[in-house]
Amino acid sequence: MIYKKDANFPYPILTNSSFDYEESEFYFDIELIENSEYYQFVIETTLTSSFIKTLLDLQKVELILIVQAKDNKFYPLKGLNDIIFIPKSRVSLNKRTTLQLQIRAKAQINFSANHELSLFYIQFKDKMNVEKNGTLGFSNIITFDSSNKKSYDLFEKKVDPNLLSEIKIELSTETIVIYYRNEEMQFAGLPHPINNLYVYMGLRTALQQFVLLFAEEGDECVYLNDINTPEEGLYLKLHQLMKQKGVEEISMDNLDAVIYQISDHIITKFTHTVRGLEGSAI
Amino acid sequence: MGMFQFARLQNIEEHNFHNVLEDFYKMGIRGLVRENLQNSLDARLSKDQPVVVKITFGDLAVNDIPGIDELKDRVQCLEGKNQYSQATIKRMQEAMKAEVVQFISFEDCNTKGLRGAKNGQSNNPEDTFGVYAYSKGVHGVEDDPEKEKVRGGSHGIGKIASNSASDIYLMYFANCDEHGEQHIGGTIQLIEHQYQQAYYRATGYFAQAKTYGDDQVQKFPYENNFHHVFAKDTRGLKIIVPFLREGFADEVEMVKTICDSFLIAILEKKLVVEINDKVIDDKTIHMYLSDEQYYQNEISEMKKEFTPLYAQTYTKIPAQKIQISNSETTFNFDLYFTYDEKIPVGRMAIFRTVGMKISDYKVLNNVRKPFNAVLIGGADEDVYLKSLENESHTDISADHIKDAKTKRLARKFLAKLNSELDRIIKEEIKKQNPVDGIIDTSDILYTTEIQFKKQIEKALGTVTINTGKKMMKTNDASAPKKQTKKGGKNKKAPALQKKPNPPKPNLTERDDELKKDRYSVQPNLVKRLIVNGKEIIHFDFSQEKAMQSAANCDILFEIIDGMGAKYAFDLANNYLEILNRHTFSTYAFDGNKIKGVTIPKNGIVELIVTFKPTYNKALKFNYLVEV
Amino acid sequence: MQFKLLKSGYKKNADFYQAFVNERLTADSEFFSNEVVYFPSNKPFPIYMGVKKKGDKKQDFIDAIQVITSDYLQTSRELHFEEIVWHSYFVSCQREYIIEQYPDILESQADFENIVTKNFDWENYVYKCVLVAEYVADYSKDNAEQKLKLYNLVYDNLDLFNYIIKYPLFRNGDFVLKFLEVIDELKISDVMKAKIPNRPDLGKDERYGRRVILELNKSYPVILVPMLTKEELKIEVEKALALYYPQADSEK
Repeated sequence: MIYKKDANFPYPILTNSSFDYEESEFYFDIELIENSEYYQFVIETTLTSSFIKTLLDLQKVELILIVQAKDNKFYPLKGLNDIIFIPKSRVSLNKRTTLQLQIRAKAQINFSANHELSLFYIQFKDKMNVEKNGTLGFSNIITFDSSNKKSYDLFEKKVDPNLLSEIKIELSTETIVIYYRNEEMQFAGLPHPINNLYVYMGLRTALQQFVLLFAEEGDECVYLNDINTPEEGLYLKLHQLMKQKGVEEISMDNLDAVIYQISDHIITKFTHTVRGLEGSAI
Repeated sequence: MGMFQFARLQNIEEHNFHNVLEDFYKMGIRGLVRENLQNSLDARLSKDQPVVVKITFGDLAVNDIPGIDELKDRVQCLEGKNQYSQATIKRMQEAMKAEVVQFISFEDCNTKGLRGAKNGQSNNPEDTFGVYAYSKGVHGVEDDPEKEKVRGGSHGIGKIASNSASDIYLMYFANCDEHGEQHIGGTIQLIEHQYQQAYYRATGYFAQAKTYGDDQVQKFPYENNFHHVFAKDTRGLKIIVPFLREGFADEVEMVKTICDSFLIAILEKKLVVEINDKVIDDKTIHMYLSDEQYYQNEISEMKKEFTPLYAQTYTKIPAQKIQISNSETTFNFDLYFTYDEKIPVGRMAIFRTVGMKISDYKVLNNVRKPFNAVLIGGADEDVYLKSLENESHTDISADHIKDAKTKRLARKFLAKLNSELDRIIKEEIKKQNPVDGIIDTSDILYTTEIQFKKQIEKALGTVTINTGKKMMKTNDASAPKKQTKKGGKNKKAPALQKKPNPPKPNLTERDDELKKDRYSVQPNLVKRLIVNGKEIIHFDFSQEKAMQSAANCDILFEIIDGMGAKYAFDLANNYLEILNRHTFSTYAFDGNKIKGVTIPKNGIVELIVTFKPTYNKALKFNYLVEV
Repeated sequence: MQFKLLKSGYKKNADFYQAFVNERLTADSEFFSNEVVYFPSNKPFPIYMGVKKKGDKKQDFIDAIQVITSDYLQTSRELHFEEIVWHSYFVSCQREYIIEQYPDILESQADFENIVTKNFDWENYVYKCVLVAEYVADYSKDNAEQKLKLYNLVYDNLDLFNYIIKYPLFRNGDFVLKFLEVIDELKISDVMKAKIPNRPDLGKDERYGRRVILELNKSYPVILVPMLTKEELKIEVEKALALYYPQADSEK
């Protein structure tokens, strides 16, 4: 299982968000190669802790690749760089697949030789032990998602004559779906921005749901750098889009500001379009 | 004795006019034309030639109407017992004052005409003249059972449709049979009445009567020597309706009725209709269909009348065979189906094999779909469809069927018909319109959306792997690098994040309890360690404004599990003692909370915990503070 | 065996169900996409062992796993671990078999959806059987006797198995089977299934087995539980059980 939640462990751990180690970093990257039988994950690890590197050399710890899709699989690595072959009969990248490295203690580890710890821990380092099978740290997370049609789509439109309302906005796992009761409401043939009002409503609905889902219990605000990358397509897209556009926090209070930030003058374009139509109608 | 025969009565029991009369009147000229043409079609003689119906209307001198004097006398004697019959009687009496009235006649050719007129009221079903002339609500039996199946309505009712079109409910029929024998009959529908000291029934028959014994009366038709409006000298039947009611002499409406109801009969050369000087046949019908005087010709405006579309569908599109089962019997139909985006309202015309339309059928859930269709079966299908016709013969349904089983089967049939059509329509829509309508067919919404899409593609990081397959790859390390680790933090949540207080269970708690603010403690403010059998928890609040004014705080414990979920942590079950490393004070446990932890000036709080032997030393925590 | 994949939108769709019932789900039906999939076999296997099925469900379960192992497991996981593939396969190629086995599906759309087009997750019997087939095949290699024993173990501890695979954390082949073997070898299967008495604080229907899993979950990744050897796992299981079942030590 991929672990990503920041918490206070009973000993210092090496992660990219914890300050337990003063400076050390632990990243990996993957190149994916596919043939008809296997996936090859070509792994390249950046580990700047000499303490842990030494332990790796001494084979007191090992790196374990965790592959989490529909279930979990573990693969010990031979070193910082390795290639892991996984038969296609045992892993599918059709759905979202996440990968992470864990540093596993193969025996009890004492921290006396660890000079990279933050001040507080340094004072106890000689007496600090991590038991066999414990984690000493975990890496960043890499996600693969094979491109299905909707991977980059944010909106869908549909016509449903049986709709009880005139339009309806629904959030599907991948997209914001705008249902129209009849086709005429889609303004086919008229300039596209005339539909921007619906885009705006759809975005607002989706972002509201985003806040509700990702705000910590009792919180009003979601800090985008602080939450785990969402699993579900729609929220992943919104999350990445907002991050790309430099949005740092989102709450019910700044939804409109966020829409302004992530989109390109939706309402202005709408206004210009309507004015244009008005002119041509005379 | 007059020329009309009314049966005698002991007394008057019924004070109303026949109720069907008014029903038919409401259907106007359409009902009249439909009923008469249907009867003519059913009587078709040679399959090689069309039935020709000549519709004539114009003026007629009242004195030329056979037997009219007696009718005038009788109408004067009618007495209405209620408002409705009084109004009708008044209308009749007013009409009788005219010297010239309008009439309409329907004369058919290449039809059989009626048989056995000479035998009069013989009660022999093969004497169709007698059956037609002197019985109500029954029709003579065709000797060919296949023909019997395909014929439309019943003559008796058809006749009364003609009565209803007359101000005095009067109609005549002139017959010429295969031997050239010409006879005339007719009926008038009055109410039961007293006339010359005797009581009479409502219906009068234009016939001569021969009496046997005391009461036995047998009616015979007159030989036809009357005004030429009433003449029928070629084989077939002619219906004459004098005193034609106002508004019925509407030629446009007649032409439309003929085209609407008998489209297929005409296209298939089974029927030709002449109205005064106009001829409607398989060639000329297209002229009327495309004439703005009769029909809307913009497809996008065809919302109520669909005949021009049906004509296109039927003539241009090859039929497909469909089977509809009511689970007992399977029926076979020919379906002509057009799909055109411009069509605003989707209808399917259901025709009998004789080419007469039963219904502009609305396919469930598809009334606004852009299609047009024509459905025709065979003899068996006609019989079944007839059983499904509603009382006004304008649609098919299961609602009027009384027998429970028949009704159930009818419902099944209609459901299957709907679902089959629905399938065909959906298939066609899909074929024509691959980007819309299907559930998972996404399409790009707007140009704005295309911009979004590009940005999302960029944000999500698309990689192409060796096989050329596109994959979305996200590396959460690539965005915020850790160069900020030592110095300032990344733009993250504040180290202390405000939380709403949980609702207080009661009001007995002290006031200052209610005023406390709750914050979650960012894990980087905390150092935790289990060493030498003790747990040390070190909080650094030195940079936290929220804590600086407070002398003490409460601390709450939450367990984080392997999937990142939170659980309450029961302190008393796990900890024996919690000691403040600097003040050496110990704290009481209250569920998952310790209270009154002193915050020194430097903001560093350090707790030393002695735990129970059963305590799970592999746990990890988040902390909350209340100040 | 070759068949077309369904398009999304077939679930909870009365038209789709009617098409299935009335044998109208031919390959050219509108419900199918143009994507074609090949299976190396068309051997049927039981797909449902829930309450509505009569007969020897355990045997069905084992039969299903054995057929999946012998005939389907060699395909890519993009096929044999994919909801849409199984649903498409059942309605296209196994109609007769599933109707014969589960006649209720012709009578009720709800039964059809519960048996044939059920979501492919831990509640779905095909999902379970595929998981077990994969896990056991990888765990036992060619040891047929051990395989059969493991199939039985899973079925006999199905509640616990469900609970484990319900959560992603321990949905790992080695771990699930090791865990079941530990239960077997410690002879605590009955204890693990039993409800915990006198602990209303734990909620309804809390069983020892579920609590043990929860404790192991809380320890992750400070203890990388799924990577423990069987003997190491035994120690952790006993420790966790002792928190809720203090008699465990004294009784033994």
